[in-house]
Amino acid sequence: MGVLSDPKQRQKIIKAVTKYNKLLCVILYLGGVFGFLALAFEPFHAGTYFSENALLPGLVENEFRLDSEARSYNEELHKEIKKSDKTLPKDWMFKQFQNLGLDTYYHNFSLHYPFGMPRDKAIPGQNIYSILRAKRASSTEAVVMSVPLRHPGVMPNEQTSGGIAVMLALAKHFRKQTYWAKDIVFVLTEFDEIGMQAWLDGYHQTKSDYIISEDLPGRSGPIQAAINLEIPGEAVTSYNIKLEGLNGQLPNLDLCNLVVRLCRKERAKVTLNKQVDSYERESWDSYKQSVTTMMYMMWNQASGTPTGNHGLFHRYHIEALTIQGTQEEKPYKTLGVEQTSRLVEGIFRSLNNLLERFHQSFFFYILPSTRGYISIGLYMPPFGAMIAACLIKISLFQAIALWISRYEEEEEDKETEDKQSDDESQKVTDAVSGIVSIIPVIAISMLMASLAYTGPKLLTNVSHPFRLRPEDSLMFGLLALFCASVAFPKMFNKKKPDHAVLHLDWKLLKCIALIVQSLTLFSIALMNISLAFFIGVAMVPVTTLIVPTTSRSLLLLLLVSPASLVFISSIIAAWLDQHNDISQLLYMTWGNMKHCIFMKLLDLYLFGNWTYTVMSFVIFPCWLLFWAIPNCNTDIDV
Amino acid sequence: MISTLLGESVAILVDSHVEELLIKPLPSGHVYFHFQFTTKWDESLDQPDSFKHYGLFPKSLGDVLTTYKVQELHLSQTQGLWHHDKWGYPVTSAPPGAELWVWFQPTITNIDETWSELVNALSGHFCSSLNFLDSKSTVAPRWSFRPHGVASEGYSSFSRFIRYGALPREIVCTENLTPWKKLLPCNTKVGLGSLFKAIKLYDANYHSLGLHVRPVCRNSECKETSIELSQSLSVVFDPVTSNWSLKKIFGDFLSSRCPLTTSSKIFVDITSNLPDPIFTLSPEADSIKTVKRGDDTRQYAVYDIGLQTANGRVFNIASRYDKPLEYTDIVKPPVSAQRFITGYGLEKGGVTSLIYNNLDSNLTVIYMETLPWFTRFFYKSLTLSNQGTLVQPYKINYIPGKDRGRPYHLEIVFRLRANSVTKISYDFERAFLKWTEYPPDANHGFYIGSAILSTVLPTSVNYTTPPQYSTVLENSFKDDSESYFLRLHTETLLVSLPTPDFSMPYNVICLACTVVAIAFGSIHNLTTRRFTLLDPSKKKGILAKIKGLFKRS
Repeated sequence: MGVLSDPKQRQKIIKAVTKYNKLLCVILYLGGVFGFLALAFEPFHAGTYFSENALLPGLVENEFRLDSEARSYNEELHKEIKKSDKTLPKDWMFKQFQNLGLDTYYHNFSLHYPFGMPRDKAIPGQNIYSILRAKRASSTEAVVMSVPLRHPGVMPNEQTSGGIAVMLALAKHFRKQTYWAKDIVFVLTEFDEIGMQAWLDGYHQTKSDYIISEDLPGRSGPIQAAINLEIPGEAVTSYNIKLEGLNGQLPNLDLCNLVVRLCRKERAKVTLNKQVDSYERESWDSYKQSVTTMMYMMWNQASGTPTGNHGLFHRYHIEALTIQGTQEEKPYKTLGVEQTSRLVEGIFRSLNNLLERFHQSFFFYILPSTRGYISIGLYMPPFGAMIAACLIKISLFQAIALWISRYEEEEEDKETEDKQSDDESQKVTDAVSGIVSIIPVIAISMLMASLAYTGPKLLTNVSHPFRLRPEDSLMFGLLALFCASVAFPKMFNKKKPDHAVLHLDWKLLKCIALIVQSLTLFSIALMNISLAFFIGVAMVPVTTLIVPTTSRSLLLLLLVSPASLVFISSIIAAWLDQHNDISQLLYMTWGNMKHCIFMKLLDLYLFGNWTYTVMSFVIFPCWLLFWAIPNCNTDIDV
Repeated sequence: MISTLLGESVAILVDSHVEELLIKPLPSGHVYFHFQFTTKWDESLDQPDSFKHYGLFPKSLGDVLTTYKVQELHLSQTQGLWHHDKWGYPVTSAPPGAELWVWFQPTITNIDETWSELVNALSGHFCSSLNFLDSKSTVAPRWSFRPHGVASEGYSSFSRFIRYGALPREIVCTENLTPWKKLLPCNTKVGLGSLFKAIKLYDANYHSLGLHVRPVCRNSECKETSIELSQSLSVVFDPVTSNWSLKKIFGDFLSSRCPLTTSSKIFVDITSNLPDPIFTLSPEADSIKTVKRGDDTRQYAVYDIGLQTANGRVFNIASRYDKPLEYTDIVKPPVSAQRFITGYGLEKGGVTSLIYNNLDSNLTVIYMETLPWFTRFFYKSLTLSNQGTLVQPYKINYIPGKDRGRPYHLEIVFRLRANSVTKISYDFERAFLKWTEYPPDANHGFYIGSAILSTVLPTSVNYTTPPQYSTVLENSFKDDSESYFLRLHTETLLVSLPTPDFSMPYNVICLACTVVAIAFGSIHNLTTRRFTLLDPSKKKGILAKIKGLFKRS
């Protein structure tokens, strides 16, 4: 604090910052990135623990003894599914739940496909749900067990019939128990997430433009937690936990810990994003494994797309996750529907013990393994350091130009060679009148951003007359828009003689652009750290170091443009799908890119996914601001 | 001498007691047991002086009634929710938690003060937190709660003398059963009361204790009034395998009747055995009674406990089903309701009530809603709609709430169109409470009491409530009225309010102390120091030099 009151010391700091600016930027950036990655090393983060004591995981004795019922449900269901390869035996499932004496209902909804189809055409869908009324409460609280209904045509390891058998067996067992204090709602949803969203919309009476949900005939109280099961009919070898929800929201860490703990109790192998924990703790191999697990999680989280039905619950403040049964080549142990039933029984009994909503543990975390977590308190400082690189850069310009302009004059007297650029800045400030010169650039970038955001609706309308598929029309349309934006500096000053370059106060523009960038990245980080981290890693080094009229800056900036970011992420996605051959990789990338943009838009319309909005409305204009810098002239006189 | 005295006292104390049990197998496989104990005492509540010689009427309650000038008192303590869709209508409707409504006598002077004294007295009497029914949760309904007993027209048309309060969070358990059963003339030693084993009763899906005091006509001329004390206990059990028996459900046989009763009977509703029997009762009933009430015909197997337990026999009613029950879609009752919270987030919220009319005729209903002050109700957002068209209510009584003072109270009278669903919805804002106002389990959420629907049904399908003039169940068998008053309680709601992180204080203290330690000194220094311009070229006086010397050190 003495720094603030003592002008001499303040000046010293400013001098130091300006002198070693580049070095500081590089150190902060590299420190931030490597510090972030280093957090995956086990000694650097804390081990998981239960914050909510009321859960009492595994304390109660498992009472589920209906092993043969579970197996016979599974076999019967298998037979019923085989009867037809087009329709699902929904009536059979409905009857099974009703026969158990539960309040069973159909829930109808319809989907208006946002792309291409006429608005009045709707695809009908139907969910089944069944409520077990708790004896110990008056339907004021509920927990949900859900299974997506998948058509018999899907791959065997994506079937969910095992989950339905588990559900039926548990419903039969649960009904006889007297200890339930929360209603249990069994939900079977058609079309995976779409059905789930329709059901949640119906339950909370929220409206959606494209998913039209009918009123639910029966209800319970506020939902406290939800478990989604994706268990195939055959025996599985391990359970995979999926956490990432819509817009990168995560369930409370306690719920995840609970599932991990109970899997261990069942002596079942448990994985996160199909990555197994390594046995050693402090070796290079285990670190590599942790980083991989962490990166997989961050990759999924950054996309903002839910990884399963559970992802849609988070918006309603319902903690939810998916347990997926996975099959491996060399099994350590096979787990049939009876083991899964016991696992889920344990989870539900723990949830039943809850007195309050989940609130104790973390909502913002990254998991490098099932036994450790990186909390928001740990990952924010390295992330902050990374972003601080931009802010330090701002101080180079702004500290001198605006913030404490009083000292600037003094400094200019003692100007040395390495302050050459500041001299220039002074000249430009004199020449082009400050803020006025950059307003057109800001306006143009905002305009482009709003075009990019609203464009898709227009593009899908024209796709039909041009006989293009909506994917293609979107892809080409957005690419065209991007090219137009890239060319904007060229068209900007057409009337001027040297219209190839812009006349503006590039330092001020860069300051503003850097401030906008760091602000947006920080706000994204508060909701979806992974997205902010990946964008930051790519953009921060380029944007902090660009200077006008160098082709290197131009190239680098193009490399981190939103379009190339989508391209790069598509390459990574294709590579993760094990397409190692170059030609195949590129082919897949092209497909992925189309698919990615298309799916993000679909998610935006159906579920309210922000990723497309963030990219088009926040990152894109921010990038356009930077794009003006290498295209502008520094030594001009108007 | 003694005999004359006794003769006199017998002549003065004219009271009677009836114990009854209604057993009704419900279409959902549950079984409904309704115990009804009715004590009628030929004394008038207007003359408190006569409350001296108590017979069957409990003195502890009589004292409360006379001290607080009570005209009518209705108390219910319930665990679980009555599912109208599956179970039809109960004999007396009650919301989850505790509910109390009282009509005071017109001679009362300060009604609010008396109410607060009364709830404290009852709270001690029934071991429940009725004392929390303060001004924040008490309302005076205008139309929903009319006097149940005998009352003059002029008295009942004012809502001045009524107070209503509900505690949706109240948990009902053994400690409430004990004081309640002590009011029975035979306690739980003999008679139907001997079936009340708390451990079995509280394993039920629904459990409700009721206590109703009101003035009724002493005879058909109705020139004088008597006091009627009606105590009821309703339980709904799920026998899982449809077979049930008294022994299985209550853990005991019946071995005697209460000798103080004039009648003690068990009625088993065997209407579902018509036309084809699906279950058989053993032992055989003393008589089978076919009851035609309005347009509904029901058949009851009647057991007289006195006859069945004569000669020291033990008595157990058992029902055996020939084949396991098949669950099918249940025919909905004439009017039912569903109420729930809508929306998400912790800033605003909404409540929607769906009211189903399954009858072919229009109905006029009164809908009453009481919201706690911390869910700030927006009157403007209130909409009533029926299949998309707006419904214009006949009358609305709305008393806005006051923060920490008064709840929001709303009564709407409107028409329920035939065979349709009417939707009542409104928005509210969630208040941010003071940190001391949160309960220990703040993240559990806060309860909103049931909404209450009152109407008069033209049909008696599913209807079991005894007629107005007496709460004795047997009287409902000879009821020839054509309209049936129905009160229906909806679900209670649980809302979460924005809640601070209560585990934070420790962190906050640490942080605050650090900030104070580091920042306070320098900021204080900066803000309190006076900066003056000094000209270094100007020579200082001696005094200033000395001063400067001291300042340095």
